[in-house]
Amino acid sequence: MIEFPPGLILVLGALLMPLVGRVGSRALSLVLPLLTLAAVWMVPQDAHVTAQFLGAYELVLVQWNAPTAVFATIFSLMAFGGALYALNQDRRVELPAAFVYAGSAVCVTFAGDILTLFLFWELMAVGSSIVVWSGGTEASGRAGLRYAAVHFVGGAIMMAGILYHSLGLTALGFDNPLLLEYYRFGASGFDWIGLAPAQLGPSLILLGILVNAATPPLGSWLADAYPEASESGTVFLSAFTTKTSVYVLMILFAGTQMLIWAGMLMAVYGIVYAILENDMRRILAYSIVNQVGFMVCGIGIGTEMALNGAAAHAFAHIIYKALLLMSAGSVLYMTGKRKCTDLGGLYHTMPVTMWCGIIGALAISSFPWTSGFVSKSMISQSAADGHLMLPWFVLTAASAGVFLHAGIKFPWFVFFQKDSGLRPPDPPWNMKAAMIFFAALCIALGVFYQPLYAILPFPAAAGEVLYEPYSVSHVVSQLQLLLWSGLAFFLLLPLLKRTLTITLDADWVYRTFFPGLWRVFLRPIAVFLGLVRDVLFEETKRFARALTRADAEVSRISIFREWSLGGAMVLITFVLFVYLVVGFNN
Amino acid sequence: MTTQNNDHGVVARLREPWRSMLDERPGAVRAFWIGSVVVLLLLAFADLFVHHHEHFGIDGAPGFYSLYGLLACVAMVLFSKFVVALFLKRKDTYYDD
Repeated sequence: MIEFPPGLILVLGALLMPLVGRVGSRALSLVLPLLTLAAVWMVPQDAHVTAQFLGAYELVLVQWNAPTAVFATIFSLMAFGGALYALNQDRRVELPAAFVYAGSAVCVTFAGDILTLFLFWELMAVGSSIVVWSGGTEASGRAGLRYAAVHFVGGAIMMAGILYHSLGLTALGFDNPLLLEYYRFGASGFDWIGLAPAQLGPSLILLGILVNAATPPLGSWLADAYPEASESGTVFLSAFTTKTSVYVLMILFAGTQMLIWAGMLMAVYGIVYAILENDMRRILAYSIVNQVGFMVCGIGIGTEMALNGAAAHAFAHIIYKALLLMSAGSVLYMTGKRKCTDLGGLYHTMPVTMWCGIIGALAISSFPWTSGFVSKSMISQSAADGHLMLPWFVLTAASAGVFLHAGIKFPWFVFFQKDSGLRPPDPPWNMKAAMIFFAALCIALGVFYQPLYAILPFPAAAGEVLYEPYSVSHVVSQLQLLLWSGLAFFLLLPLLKRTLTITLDADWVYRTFFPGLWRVFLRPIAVFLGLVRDVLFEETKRFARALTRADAEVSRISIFREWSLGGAMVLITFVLFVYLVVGFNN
Repeated sequence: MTTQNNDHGVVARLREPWRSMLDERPGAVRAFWIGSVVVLLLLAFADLFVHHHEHFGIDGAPGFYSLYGLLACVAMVLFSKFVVALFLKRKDTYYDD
């Protein structure tokens, strides 16, 4: 019997790691995720572990929610794959921080009340910020700071919504206003963000989650921070934050119409930005947004098929995205280069990295017999079943675009294209092992998908088939869509030539606009107000002292001679200024 | 360069990104292209024999997925390249100073 949140094995184990020496901590890094995975599966179906909080509230630390099994399983598995990939690195803080991050994500999936969920949600932000900082460069330091700031602001917005809603419930006389069941806004008909009193709580909570889900324009932190982390750090980062948001959206906002639009926006945004990008890991970061867009869209559609599809896609996505970033990370690790313009021709000497990257690229593109095919098609199918024409056409176009921007672009520019002259060997054995493990999973899931379907939020009734991905029509139509979009890539290749450029995103607002606003506008005002303060309080004080000088021998009338010229000037200027303002207004 | 007699033709422009690969493995590149064209045509004409269940009228038409995939990608590339990039593209040292 497991009487505690399984994720705590990772969170608390991580704190042990620095104490047990190098070999010990490496062993722990492989054992802890597997222990967590085992613990997840040993939590009894009717588990209900509670704790008192502030005397008045009962927190539900462990309970099974519909999508818990999918997400807790993949989060634990991911922690193992990531740890294997990171086994040879010497950054002392990164892996423990990544485990706190991963363990908190597992804890979120078992939370039965909104406060427990929120506490672990914030702990994830702490862990992941440290992972970004572990990149160890000046750029990662700054990016980590921005990352942390955005996430804590997002958390504060979410907390405000939780407070607003729970206080409302308390006023209505609910016993335990923190229970998750009172926060299922999607099911109770919440469709759009709004300012009406009844909408305010859910709106703030949704905004907070959408920050973490990387929905534009709230999501530019992702492509800003992830590529600045270390090779292994980025692999961890890609897995948990956005997918935990998908989980929480699924719990709270299933069927909220706005998410269909948010998902479509994300799917297209990810492609457009990835097409223009030159940094290989940033290309993959944008494609996270694109893929999460499919899931968010599915959650907005909200049918059982759509939610199953979103959950399955999150599972498949974590594996192939980690695999792609491992492949890119291996290239970075061996060459020290990250720009497509500096890379190319690596197929000569990095065959394992190349093939694993290609398998990840096929899986993200949803090629038949890979994991993406059996998961994403459920979301498209649910759009078709619901006769949602626009979402279906956008998602189908986005599916084609995935192959273009991630499926071909990444392998082509990194491993083929031109001969960069680089001849690095494949990375150390543990990195290869992690890649081969995840590549095998990508294909295994595409062929033997039944175990995944069995743990989805809405499993099939006994004797029924949940969904059959492999029909001749489906395979043919998917291959057509993908291969013809591949043709588009090669026809447009002259246009897609990489340049030394970036594409501005919403983070421009707080990286350039706000500092500029301060420099050009706010700072001069502050300086001016400082001068006014000097005049009002310093100069007038001097003036007053002059007025009341004890050694003034002359009569009160003669003190006018004591005025300093400066003080008089200032006083006159001030009077004129007041006159000007008043007169102007009239 | 010596293999090209017209540096500005469409074929030459399509060949340009492949120059390095052509120098290294001309056989493999040729096989890749011939194989791709055959597979693309086979797939597009497979629709004459495979029935696609249609949900929105047009999506059951033969060759729909081929054409839609191609056009959607062309549209997205052109949109990125000539609309988004026009306003938002900067040198990659933009944030460095």
